[in-house]
Amino acid sequence: MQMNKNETQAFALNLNVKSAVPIFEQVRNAVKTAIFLKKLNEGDQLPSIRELALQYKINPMTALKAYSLLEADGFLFSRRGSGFFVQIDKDKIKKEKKGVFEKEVEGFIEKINGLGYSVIDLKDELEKYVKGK
Amino acid sequence: MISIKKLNYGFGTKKVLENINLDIRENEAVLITGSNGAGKTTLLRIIAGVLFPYPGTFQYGLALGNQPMSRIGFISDQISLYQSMSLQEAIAFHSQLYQVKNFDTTILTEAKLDLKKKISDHSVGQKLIFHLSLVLSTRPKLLLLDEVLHAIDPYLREICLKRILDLLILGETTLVMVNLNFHDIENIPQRVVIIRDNTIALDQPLEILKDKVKKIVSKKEMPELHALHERSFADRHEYYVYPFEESMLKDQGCEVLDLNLNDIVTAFIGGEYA
Amino acid sequence: MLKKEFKDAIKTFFFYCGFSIVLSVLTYLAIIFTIDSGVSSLEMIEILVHPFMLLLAFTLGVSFFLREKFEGAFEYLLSLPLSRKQIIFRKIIPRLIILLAALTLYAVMIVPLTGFRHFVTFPSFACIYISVFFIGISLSLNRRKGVATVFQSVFFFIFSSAIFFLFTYLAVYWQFFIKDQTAYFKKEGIFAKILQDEPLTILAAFAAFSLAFFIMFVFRFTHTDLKNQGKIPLTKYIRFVPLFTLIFFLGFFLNEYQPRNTQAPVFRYEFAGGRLLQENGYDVFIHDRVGRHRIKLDISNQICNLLIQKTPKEDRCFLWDDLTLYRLDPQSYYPQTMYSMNSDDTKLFVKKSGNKVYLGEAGWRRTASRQFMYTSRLVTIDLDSGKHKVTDADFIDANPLFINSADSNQRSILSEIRAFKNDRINTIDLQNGSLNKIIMHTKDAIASIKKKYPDLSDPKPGQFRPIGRTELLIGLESKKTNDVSIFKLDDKGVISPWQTENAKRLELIQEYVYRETRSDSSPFEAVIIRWDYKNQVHRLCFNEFKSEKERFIRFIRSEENMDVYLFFDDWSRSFENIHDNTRKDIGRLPSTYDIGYKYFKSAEWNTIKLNVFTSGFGAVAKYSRKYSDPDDSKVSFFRPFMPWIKNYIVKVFAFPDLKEIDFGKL
Repeated sequence: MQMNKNETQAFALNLNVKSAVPIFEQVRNAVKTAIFLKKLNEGDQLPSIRELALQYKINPMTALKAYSLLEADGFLFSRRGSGFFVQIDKDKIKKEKKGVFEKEVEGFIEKINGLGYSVIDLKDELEKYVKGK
Repeated sequence: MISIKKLNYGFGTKKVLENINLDIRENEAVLITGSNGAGKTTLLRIIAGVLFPYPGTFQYGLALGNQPMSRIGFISDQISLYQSMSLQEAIAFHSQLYQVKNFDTTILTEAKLDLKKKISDHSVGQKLIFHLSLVLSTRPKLLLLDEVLHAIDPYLREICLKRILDLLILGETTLVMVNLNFHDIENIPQRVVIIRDNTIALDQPLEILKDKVKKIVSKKEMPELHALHERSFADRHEYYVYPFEESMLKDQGCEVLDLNLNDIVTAFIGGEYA
Repeated sequence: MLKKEFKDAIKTFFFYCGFSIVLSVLTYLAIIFTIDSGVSSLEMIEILVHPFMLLLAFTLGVSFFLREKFEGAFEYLLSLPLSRKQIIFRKIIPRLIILLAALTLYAVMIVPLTGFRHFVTFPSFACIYISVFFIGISLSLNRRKGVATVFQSVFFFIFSSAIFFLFTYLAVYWQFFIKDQTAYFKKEGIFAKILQDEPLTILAAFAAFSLAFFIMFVFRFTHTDLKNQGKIPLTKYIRFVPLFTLIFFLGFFLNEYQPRNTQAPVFRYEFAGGRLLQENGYDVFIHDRVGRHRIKLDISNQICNLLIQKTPKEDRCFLWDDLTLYRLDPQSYYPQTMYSMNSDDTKLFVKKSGNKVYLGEAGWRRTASRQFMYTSRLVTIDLDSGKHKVTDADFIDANPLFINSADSNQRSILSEIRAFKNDRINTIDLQNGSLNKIIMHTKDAIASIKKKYPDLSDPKPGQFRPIGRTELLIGLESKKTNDVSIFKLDDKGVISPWQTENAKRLELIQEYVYRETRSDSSPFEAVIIRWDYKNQVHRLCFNEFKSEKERFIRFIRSEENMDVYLFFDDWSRSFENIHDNTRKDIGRLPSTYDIGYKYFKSAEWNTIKLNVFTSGFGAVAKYSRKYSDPDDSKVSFFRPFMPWIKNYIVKVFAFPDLKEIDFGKL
């Protein structure tokens, strides 16, 4: 069954099978990212479990798990008979975004550390960047 | 749904399965794999009722009802059908025995199969599609597939997978697959069973395996890892470890990589061949 | 699944039929071109139909899993929601139906035409037929690989065979050790004898064996997965042993206690002292208070002709086998040889009259001039004294006539033997032994007859009949119709037409008519009808010698209630049509001229008795297996088919108006 073009664009999911990140986690992250990037808005309908499973060839249980967790997180709600819909809780999103931000920074710092640069170097570089703007 | 305890199977002096303990729950999707000749097909056949286990080692659960065989759909790795029948005849035959009232011919139409032609007049892939549609039409509670998808062309494979997933989605079916090719089905099984040396070497959820089976690449030799499988190259050594622990990376110059299903299975089977 | 199995079974059946028809045609062609060109289609059917049926049963059995094996559908079959038992059941039913349909077809179509001439009766054949089917099924899953399978099969085969032979041995033991005190069992060919005596027992053992084999197969199929996993529950198997034993003993008792009607002795004679002599097929028994004793005979034990007086007063009896006349006294079990022919000699005829037996024998003898010639002679054996007298007389090809008269006690005795040969009427007066020869000028007579009646054709070699020492009847057939005109010629050359009441219909019956009146009012007792290759009744009894193959069989014996006897004229074919096949010495008969003489004894036994309706058309064949049984209430199996047979034969073999023929006094 073909999905709506809008939804396809809104919700990009590239499953990395090599990743240790479980599939449900990957789905969850993809949805969250789409919400953060404002590609999914309040009230948008997400693909059904079936569509998700069929399109990406994943176990429907996995899809269900992902959605259940999203629902528990408050990012979507399910209407019986109709499907799953995006829910925007600004506070929660802010919190999540912050969480993502922190994680990204941490990861970034680790990376540059690996290259041999310290946080001080980073600070200098950032100042240069801001001044350049 | 199925309960197997200390199952042994062999003929003559040859042992095919030894001390198999396996429980399959409802609506699970299980992948059974292992090296060639490990006994996977035999195990599947036993579950299908084609081969007989010793009494007391195998039991069908309540979910399969009084006549387990009528709720089981089985496709073996060698196409087993009355090949001189036409598709129509085979459909009628099958439907009558499994009491299928309305046979859904959409797959066959999509695959452009002529119902009047004999089964033997088709290619291997077409026969598999047909067999699959026969089996799926009975809405089996337990679906046993033995290396079914590899011979079907990608388009039809897609269709077949969708049909199988449909059954999983409806929540009526338990899927047990034997596969050596994981490309299409990477994300379908929830549980992986690996048969090695005629016994079950591994029985774990896929998530855990993804988490705990890793490849460590190092310039140095690391025999202390007790790796499942190792590969040596000119410039590096690759070690497949399970279960992975952070402490394994104490040395510098080690890299840890995640694995896909194919590599995970290779890790386990590769050890067998070493 | 039943439908599919039905289709499969029918396919197998037709394939088999096609294959075997081709094979039959080839066999037929092979036979007619190499061995004997006189084989008719009926004979061919007979030869081939039994192996055809048995092979059909076997084929339907082994093709049980043919489609699965061939198309690799075994796994599919086994994964279907059918128990193993259900699978077997659904496969057996259609095949059994076809099997029984074929058997019915065979019974209804072929058997009445050809008779059932084998040593087993039809029900026994049916039993073998079905048993073979089950054996076929039991072999349908044998594969070359899997040594364990082989061992298992072999083990159970031996087990079942052991049962079979054990029971057979018990039957032998019972029959020969316990029941019959004569030490016959020591002779060779014991199992052949058993087969003859105890066919039902053997059959039951065979049936039980095939059932055992089949049950083993069923167990194997339902309890193992054919890769030898799973064990055959021997304890379950053992519970069938009583069934097999039951089947066996059923057969045994049926065999033992059935009224042996088909082998019922036609002759049962009382000796003095309450002893009973019983001829039972080829065996002769004496019953007395002690038991039943088989009479020991030196030679082949083939009794052909029992000359026994039927009055209770007679206290001895005479038996013939192939070559020897024996006398059996009441007190002994062992016959005495009265007269023995040379084994090379041929028995031309045997007649008993009063206390004398007249034997016509032919053989090679050295003549006075020290040459070897094939001559015949009359041997007169005096039953009282045991002495015999030999008179030279030319009976070869002469077809003698036996003239009776009454003795002082008004008993019928043979007074003369008369034969016409080479223009001579030779008469042997049996009272004084003199030989009288009268020359008849037949050539001249025939010439003058034909001059007067140009539309008559020459009489054929058999159309001469002496009636009296000096008179000869000559029959000439009209060229246009089938009518025969009969003229009388006497020794003075006087020709006169010879009329009787039914002269127009009277076909001249030469030498194959034995006329014996039992009382003055009794009409003629026997007429011979010729039946040609096409099984069409051609004409009434004309002694025509078309070729070496066609011969009439000498008919001599008289019996009670004898009506009409039908003889086939081609021995090679007909002999097997009606002959009881247990005669080992018959085999395939050459169609030579001496058949009639050599096997004449068999002729008497192998007749289809026809009752001729006085209303005209119609003949009903009544089958008697070995003897022409006057009562013949034992049509047994054929009884339900009698009306059908009657109609069938009437249609095919309808011959012109046939009324009881009174040949008057000749």
